[in-house]
Amino acid sequence: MAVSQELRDGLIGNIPSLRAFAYSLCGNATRADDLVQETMVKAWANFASFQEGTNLRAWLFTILRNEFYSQMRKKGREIEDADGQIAERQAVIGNQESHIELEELKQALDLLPEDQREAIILVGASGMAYEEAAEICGVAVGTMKSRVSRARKRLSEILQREQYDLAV
Amino acid sequence: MKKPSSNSQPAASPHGDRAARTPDPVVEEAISRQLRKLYDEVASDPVPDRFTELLKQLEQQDGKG
Repeated sequence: MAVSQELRDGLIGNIPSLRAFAYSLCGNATRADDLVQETMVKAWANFASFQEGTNLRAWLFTILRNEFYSQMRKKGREIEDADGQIAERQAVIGNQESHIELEELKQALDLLPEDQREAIILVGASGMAYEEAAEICGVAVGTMKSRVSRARKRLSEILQREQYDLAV
Repeated sequence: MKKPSSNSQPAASPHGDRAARTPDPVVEEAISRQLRKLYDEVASDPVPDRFTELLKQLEQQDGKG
């Protein structure tokens, strides 16, 4: 079946957000782009099952998310841990109390449970509405709200403690 | 940074170990900002060639099928 011009354009238009979502999830640029490539191939093969007029971005994000978790289950998490992130930790912390580096945030995200991490990435990082994030993760809106709120709390705890430890 | 102090409590921090768990609005604000930055930095990148190439390949496959 030929893919319509509209879907094709929709797919191209969503590549930047797919890349950002993938990068936020896995924290590794090369792996993120591999995930996006997989997502595009899968989307292309399954466009017949996409209902035109429904939310294409949510549909694509769902594919990417599923791909990410299935890879994680296969490979385990050693890929991320092997990146020497802990070693970088010492260098990145400034002395202003409110100063949080990107690298610290990525490390803190890594410490969150899966469900909270994807929730805060979708809502807090991509700026998506709770409803759309809930659709992508296949949960109720209320569940999504509580995951985001728990994720924010956890991130604060982790990053505040880090700053506190450093101040001592 | 280490501050010389006879007291083991850091003078600069009003928080004790347990109090550090109370959400600090300044930290929360910084987290929100960095979350957006993490995402936006990649989202605002130009689309790498590999993806436009991939799309061409996918279209060619369709043409043959």
